[in-house]
Amino acid sequence: MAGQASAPPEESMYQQFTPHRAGLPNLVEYFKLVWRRREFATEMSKSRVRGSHDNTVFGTAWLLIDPMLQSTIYFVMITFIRGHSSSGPTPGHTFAHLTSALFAFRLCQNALSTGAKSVTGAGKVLLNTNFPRLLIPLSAVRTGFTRFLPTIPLYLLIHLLVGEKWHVTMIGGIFFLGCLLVFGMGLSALAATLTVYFRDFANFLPYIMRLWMYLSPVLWLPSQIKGKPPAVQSLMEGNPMYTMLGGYSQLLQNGHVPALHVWVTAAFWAIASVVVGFLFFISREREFAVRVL
Amino acid sequence: MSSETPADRPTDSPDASGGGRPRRALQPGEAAVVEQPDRPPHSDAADSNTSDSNTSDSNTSDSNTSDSDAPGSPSTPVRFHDRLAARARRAEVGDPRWSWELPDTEEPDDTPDQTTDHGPAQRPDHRSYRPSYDQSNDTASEAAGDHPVDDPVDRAVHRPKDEAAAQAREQPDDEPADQPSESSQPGQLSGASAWIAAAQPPAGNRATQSQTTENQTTETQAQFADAESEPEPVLGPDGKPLPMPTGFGTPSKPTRKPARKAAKRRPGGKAALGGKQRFKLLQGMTPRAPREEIPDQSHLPAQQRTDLAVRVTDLSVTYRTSFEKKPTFRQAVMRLGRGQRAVREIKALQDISFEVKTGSSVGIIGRNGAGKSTLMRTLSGILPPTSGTVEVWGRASTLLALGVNFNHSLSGRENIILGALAAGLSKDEAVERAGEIADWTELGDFIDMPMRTYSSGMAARISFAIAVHMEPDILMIDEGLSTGDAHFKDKASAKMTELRDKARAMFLVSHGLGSITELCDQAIWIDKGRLIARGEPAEVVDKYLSTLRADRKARKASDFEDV
Repeated sequence: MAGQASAPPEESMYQQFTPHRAGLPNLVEYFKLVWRRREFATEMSKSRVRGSHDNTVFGTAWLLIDPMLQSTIYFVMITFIRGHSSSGPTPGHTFAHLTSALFAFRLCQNALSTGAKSVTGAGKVLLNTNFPRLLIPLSAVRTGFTRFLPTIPLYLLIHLLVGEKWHVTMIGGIFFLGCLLVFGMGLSALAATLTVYFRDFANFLPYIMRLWMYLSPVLWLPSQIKGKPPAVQSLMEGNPMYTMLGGYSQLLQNGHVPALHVWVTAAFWAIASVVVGFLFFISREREFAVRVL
Repeated sequence: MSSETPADRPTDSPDASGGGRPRRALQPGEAAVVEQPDRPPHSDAADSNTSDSNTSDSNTSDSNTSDSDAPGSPSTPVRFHDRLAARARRAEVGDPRWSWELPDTEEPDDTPDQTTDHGPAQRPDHRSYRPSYDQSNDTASEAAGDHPVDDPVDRAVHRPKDEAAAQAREQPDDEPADQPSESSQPGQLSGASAWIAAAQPPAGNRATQSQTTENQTTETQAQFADAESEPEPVLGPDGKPLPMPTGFGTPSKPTRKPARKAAKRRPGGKAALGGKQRFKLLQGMTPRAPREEIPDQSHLPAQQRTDLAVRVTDLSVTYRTSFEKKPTFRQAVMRLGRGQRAVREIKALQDISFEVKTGSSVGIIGRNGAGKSTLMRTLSGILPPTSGTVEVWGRASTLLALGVNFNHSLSGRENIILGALAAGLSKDEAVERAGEIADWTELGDFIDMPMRTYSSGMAARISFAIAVHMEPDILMIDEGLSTGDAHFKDKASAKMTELRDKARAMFLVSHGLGSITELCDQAIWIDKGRLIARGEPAEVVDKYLSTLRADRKARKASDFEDV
């Protein structure tokens, strides 16, 4: 009889499951577990990338072609259809801004749309395995980030092509990019939870994202809303993307360091999104096993 | 007899011939065949054996004619045998209402002693062709009436064994001598009863008699074919093999199910159950050899204890779920307009406490929706408790529901790595074991092909392989796991046995009560989220069945095929 000899060390295996306070487990323990299982999220994300052949030559090419096509369409729209004002930025500058902001916005968009379906698509793993479910939307964000990465060199190339120069301050853009990533994590967790309760949430998502993009400084520059009614201005500035995308594109294009409040507000939005999104997700996580399948 | 229907009445009329054949107008030719000149007059038999409650012999007059009739009326009514059996059980010794005519016996005067001998000795005869499980319809109604609730279960669970023992005592070699004269007439029902009586060996084995008669039917063969006994023919008092009665063997509905049930019962009762009724994944599994018990370590901190595998204290689990399979925002808005809510609270578990020591095998029984799976998921940490605590010394298995299927575009091997990572292995360990697991699945070249090209059985192999290769300390097996074809099932079964031997504790959730009593050393019965009973598997299963039988008037006996 194999018996006791094969039993693993007891001390390390002792587990205690206690009720969640206000629906939340011990968050320190929870995030320790998340960290310990990070390889699972990484591998899940990698497998998603492999599964969609994003890591092949043509797959990567598509990751570049798709945002470029989108940028071109929007560029045509805002320059030729809407009309280009002579007092505004040059077409080259507009295109550089459009690409930088659109690529960054797509990072969030990807994270949100992949994350929304991640939990409901996880299948029986939810039923038979005990792991922090937060890893599932986080892996979706990682996937979104992986798909975003090839667009960074693409933008740097465009930046040169339109006659701009690289600046040292462009490195500051990493902060805003980080904010966008963290913001996307919170949104992804939120969307994943909402999708469990309303399965058609993912169907609404494209409309929400498009509207959000029009309200964000993607197709327009932050400087262009000056002179608008105060109500419109405050609405635009209240948009989390305003500071994050605005600061990001400002740093990348002009090398201008944004004002301090832009940095702080961007960080605030990122943290707020993560706190709200993660807590909502974790508090509802125990119901996933009984609701998803 | 006045209360009986003509179909029940053991008369020699052509109507009742054939041991439960349909009542129909016989053709004149048929009737002529039935009327055999040398058959003893019915009235004589009735007069001479008024106090015998022998149920098998009670069929005498039925099968008198059955042999001469063409066997196998397919439309035989079920109730004949049911009623016959019920009456036989209810029959009390000396009650003239239930005395059945014995045919012309050579011992016309049954003494009281003989009568008492007959009673217990013959009752199992009847059960041998109609197992107690099938009598639950009758016993349930009795339980609702005069009998205590436990009676049916006692009968159902213990009787076969007890009666076999009683028969061993009371019906040794000379018992068939009661019906010598009839046995010489092939096909007469007294022969049938004698045959069955003799075919009940003292130790519970039944002799297979199938070779001894030509006109036996397949049902009768099936009835005894699986009975694992010496194939010696049953000898009559004159030393000749007793012919197998066809009256019992008519291919009719009443005999079909009992035959199957009887075939499942093997000597040793629960220790050896037929393959069909065993939980399919556990077919090759035998009870685990007892382990050395670890002394109580309650003085130690919980983390250092090794004597316990699982401890559950006042566990309650409540959750809310939706009526809808896939709730949508659209429906929610529409419901809101109507002022309806589609959420309900489910109290899956309520105040459950128990301890499982290291080395135990615990069976969990209960009806559907009782909370068995919820309990398993709580023990494995998938569902956190609403109140109470669950302590687990070890890592629980992922055998609760199979399936990884992370990505159908990826190969089986990549899915194995993902599954292993989900189960808590590190990347290196997962990659290292992926090869071993992939080999174990025996999928050949398919292992490196996308899983969308797999058949469902092949995908099940992947899922199962991942689950069993995670070396769980607490093995939890939920029923209904599909593991593919017969070959792989054997392999899976062997692996489960290996896991069970290694694990600190095993939990088995199954409706196959045979598996529970055989493989587990304790059982937990949960009903509506509450712990109803816990203890020895046989006792808990008894209680479970007694409750089920008491309130299952509307349920079918076929629900208990697994018992």
